Amino acid sequence: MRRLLPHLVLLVATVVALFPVAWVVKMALRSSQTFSTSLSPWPDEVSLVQFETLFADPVFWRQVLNSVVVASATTAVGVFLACTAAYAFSRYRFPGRRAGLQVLLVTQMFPGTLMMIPLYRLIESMGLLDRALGLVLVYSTTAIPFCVWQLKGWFDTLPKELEESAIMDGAGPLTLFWRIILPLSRPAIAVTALFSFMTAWNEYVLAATFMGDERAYTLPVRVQSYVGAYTTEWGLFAAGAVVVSLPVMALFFVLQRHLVGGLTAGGVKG
Amino acid sequence: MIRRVAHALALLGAALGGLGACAPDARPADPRREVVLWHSYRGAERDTLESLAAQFERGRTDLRVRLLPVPYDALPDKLTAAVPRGNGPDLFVFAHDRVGDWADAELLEPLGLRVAPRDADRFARATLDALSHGDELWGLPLAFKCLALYRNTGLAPEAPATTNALIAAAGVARSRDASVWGVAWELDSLYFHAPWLHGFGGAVYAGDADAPAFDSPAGARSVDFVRSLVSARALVPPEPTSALTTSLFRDGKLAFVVSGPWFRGELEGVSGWAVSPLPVVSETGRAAAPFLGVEAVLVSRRAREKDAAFELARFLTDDAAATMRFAEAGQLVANVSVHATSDFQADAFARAFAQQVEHTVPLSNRPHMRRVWTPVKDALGAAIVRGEDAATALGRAAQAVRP
Amino acid sequence: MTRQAARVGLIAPFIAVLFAAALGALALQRYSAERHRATATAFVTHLAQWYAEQGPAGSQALARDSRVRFAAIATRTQAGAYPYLHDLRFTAHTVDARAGEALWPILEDDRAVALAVTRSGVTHLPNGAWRAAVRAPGSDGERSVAVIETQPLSPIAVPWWGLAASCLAAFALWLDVVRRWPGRGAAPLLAAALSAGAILTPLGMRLLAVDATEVGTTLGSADLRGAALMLAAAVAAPLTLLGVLAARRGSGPSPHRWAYAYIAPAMVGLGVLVVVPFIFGVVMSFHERAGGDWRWVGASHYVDILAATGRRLWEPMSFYFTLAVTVLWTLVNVALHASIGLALALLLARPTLRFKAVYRVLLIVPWAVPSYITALVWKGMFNQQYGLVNHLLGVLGLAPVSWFASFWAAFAANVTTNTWLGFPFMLVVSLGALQSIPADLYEAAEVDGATRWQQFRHITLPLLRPALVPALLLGSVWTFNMFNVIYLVSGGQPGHATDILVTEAYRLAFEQDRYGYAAAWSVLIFVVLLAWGFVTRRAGEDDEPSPAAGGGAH
Repeated sequence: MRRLLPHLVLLVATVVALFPVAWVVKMALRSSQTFSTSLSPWPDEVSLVQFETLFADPVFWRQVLNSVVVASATTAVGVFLACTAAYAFSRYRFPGRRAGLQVLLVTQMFPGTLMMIPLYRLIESMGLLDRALGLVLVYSTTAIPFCVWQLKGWFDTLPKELEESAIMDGAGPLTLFWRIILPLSRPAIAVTALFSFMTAWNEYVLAATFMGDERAYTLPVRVQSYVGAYTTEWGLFAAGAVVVSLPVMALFFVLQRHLVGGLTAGGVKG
Repeated sequence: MIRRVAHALALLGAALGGLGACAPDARPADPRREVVLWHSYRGAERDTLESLAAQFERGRTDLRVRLLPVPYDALPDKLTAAVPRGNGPDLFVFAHDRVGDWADAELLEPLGLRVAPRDADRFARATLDALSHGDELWGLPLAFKCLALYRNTGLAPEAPATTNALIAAAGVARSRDASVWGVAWELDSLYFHAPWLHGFGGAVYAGDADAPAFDSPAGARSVDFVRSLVSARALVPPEPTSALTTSLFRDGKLAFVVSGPWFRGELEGVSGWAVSPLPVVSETGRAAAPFLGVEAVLVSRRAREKDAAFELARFLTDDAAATMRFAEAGQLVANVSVHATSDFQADAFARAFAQQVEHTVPLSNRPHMRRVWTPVKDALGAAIVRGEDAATALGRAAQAVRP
Repeated sequence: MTRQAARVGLIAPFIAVLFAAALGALALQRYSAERHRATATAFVTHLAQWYAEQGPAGSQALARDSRVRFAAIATRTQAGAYPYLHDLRFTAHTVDARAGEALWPILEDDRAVALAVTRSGVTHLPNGAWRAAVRAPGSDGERSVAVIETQPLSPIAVPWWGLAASCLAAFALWLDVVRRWPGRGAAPLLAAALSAGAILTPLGMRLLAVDATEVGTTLGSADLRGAALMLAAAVAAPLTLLGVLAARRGSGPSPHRWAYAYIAPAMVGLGVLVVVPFIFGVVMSFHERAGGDWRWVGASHYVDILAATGRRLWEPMSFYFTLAVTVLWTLVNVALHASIGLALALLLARPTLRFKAVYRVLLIVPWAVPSYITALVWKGMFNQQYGLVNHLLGVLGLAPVSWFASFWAAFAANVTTNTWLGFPFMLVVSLGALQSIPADLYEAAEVDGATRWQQFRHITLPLLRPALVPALLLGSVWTFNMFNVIYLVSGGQPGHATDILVTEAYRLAFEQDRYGYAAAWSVLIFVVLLAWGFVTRRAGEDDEPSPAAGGGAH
């Protein structure tokens, strides 16, 4: 019984997690565009017409590419900048260190509701309107504070003796960073990578505002365009939502190996 | 070490290459001048707009039209951010209710000096009024929207002419089958409550005054009327959200629905329904007059191609294009000549709405209108759903709206 | 040079120059206003004559030129050079009797002229005749009256408090130097920077004749633009000054250059893309939008919010009530997210569990699916008549609840939805955090006979702190500002009781058009969070790696 208890709890949690999503899948598998208000989440028909409509549009695939590129670039830029900054915050003592950490936290406190127009003008003045790079920069700066804090917390738990012995062996700061710290930090980096990716992947307001061409839109903008003034095409919207969710789950599937592997086995620490 | 640097560089290069790829394709140098139009159409309306744009290009070989569809709730912000910087479109399609706002913020180009009176006569007078602000005309009307009465012809074969008839028919349907509801609409929305407010003689604002007028006795009576439908006669389902209303009507569990032309899109595959104008309020003898909403094409103040934009606007709203928009996209066009055609008259749906237009109140496009929605929503929720006294709730809302 | 001497030598003349500049700017403003008026009169008269000379093409030309910038007009109408009008746009619009009355003062002031526009051309209407013309627009409806007017000169945004700031700076310097208050030179520095921004930036704009339409027409008034730029300059100036002073003090490259190099890109990016828009928001909170233009209202928004004008202190939509609801919302949610996430992570961290990977991927689904649609699905589940939740309650024999009719029920609905949306994030973070605890600690503890619970309390929890705390801190900030769930699920019902601070701000801005008020609300949200940040600052400061990680436990 004791062995079964964890499974039971996890099963319940999984069912609760999947239940509302089952409705979304149900709406995606219908041929009409109405919102499902019935009690049962089981699909009452299985029709792929919504997906067909989505996939048949060549602009859709271009938008998928846009989303992938923007989100990947955000992850790359965000994680890279966050790693370096977190390393500095963790290992060095410099004036403004504590203030810098607080500033990172504080920037998350600005409610974003009213910042759009100034942000638009800033991006425009940098000539990055209608360019993916503009979106990448904005998303990265949104994701960085959490990533820095998370990585710094992780780096704090890594013992300094490792680095000290490497320095005595003649390692420079770059080697230290790349060959010693980073491989040990795979779980934290996995978390921050997933978080940065999610930040960029699901964002639609800024993408809709900054982009001036339909072929430059990202996927969430397209999915949101099914929400109209008075009515929503729920079938297409649900199908779009399903498509939007799959890459995230795939990414998590890939990353989770790093999330839970490595350290506990092998006794590297201590 | 080298390997890692190489990996990093490769990743960076891939990212940059991808970013470069994400830029909109560099178009070959096109000698034609480009006119940019933003809209939030989907489906058939979008297709029709695209073919009209193509037709326009064929007629004007020196111009190219670029259409950009934008999600509906992102469009106002996008316009507000982009137009003052000169990055916006040359013209755009949107509802009329922000015209006053945008005109004051100098986002729109006034069309008054460009539109001769005989051009303006093409359109129903009410739609032009909706697009006027400060004695200027700010847009050309494409289509109109207002509420009307949908009914399930199986449950209610006749179109009710008065509210008493409506109540009777709804009651009959409900008494025959207890799982069937009588009538439904979004109870706490001012937009849906407006027909009853106007039918009892009330108004949101009295004329051009700045003080709200919905807390009058007429307003309170309209709220009491709706509340009686809910509680005393139990004709309206509790918490009637639009999703619920739609699914009940589709399943044949609802006799009457108050909704607009968009509702037809929700009824795909469902037969046995019809539309009629809203009934006359029995207590006062006045028609229940809903708000009139106008979808218009508006020219941006900072348009680079103002003349061309105006040409395109005129093209999209002339009678030939309007006929096409009605025929292919089912838009309720504002051109009166189209209303008189046999195709239009033969379409019972369009005819019903054209009849309803005679009894509508244009939704005010002045900025003061936007303050009203939320307080009145609260008041209607308090009075109709939670049973608070109507006059008190409306009075509180009026207090919140007063500047 | 001693620090003090440096301060006096550098700052005092600086302040003196600023003061002089402020006075000069005010004088210049007075003078240029007069000149503008005279020039505007000459200009509109010239324009009227030019259009009249064009004959039948005049009316079309008038329509085309309306609201065009000065440079284009000047070329087209051979208007030549009219100094002080570089900020100009002229407008031509048709008028009827009522609008005409409003324009009468400007017509009398000669800043505008009236024209009769007919098909055969444009004619100038002298001030006496235009009133009659407006009231009788001609029987064929083809004649209208147009008025050409120039925009009034926008004042140089040198608010009086720019002068006051420089006085304050002088006072602070005196305190610092003469009275030796321990300000470390920061106070006079900051005040000097404020005055610098206040005075130099708008003045520079004016002197360089920057076209007003190029800079921030969205925000309208010159005061707003000037104030916003001033504030931005005020942030940049002390940093520059500090840098200059530091450079003079130090010798050779700083030993911290690596650290600064590492953090520079992130901090600069944040500074530009987050701080600058926020500064605009702050400036907006001192204005209100009225008919397309921004009007200075001072601190009246803040007074209205903090005094809960127009409603009782403890009522929905009052700041304090909403603040309390927001705090409750944050605490409940963070507690639930963290406990559920951590509990599931602990279960999943057992080495002997099978199907771990499957569970992990499935449990992350709520985070992966866009929250817009799932929030609406949850809302549907809480529908009183047809929702699943009430159906389940019925199956269990309980009475159905009207979920959005009472505060606690709606709050519970919101919390349920948000917890469902948020626990995967904490789950992932906890999974990562658990990796920092070496397995041998647990083994040693088992050997010593510790129970699972004791292991959890004494090994897991303390070692998790450094990795979990950031997520908790930031998670609480995000939950505090969580807009989507409240807006989509309960919509603030009943009667705005479940609204949190950020949804109120949204309503004010986008549903009621009170942008300035909403900006003030947002600034207050920020201040509250800042206070919370100070309170929890100690929790986030883990300076040294915890000794236990070095294997000191056994």
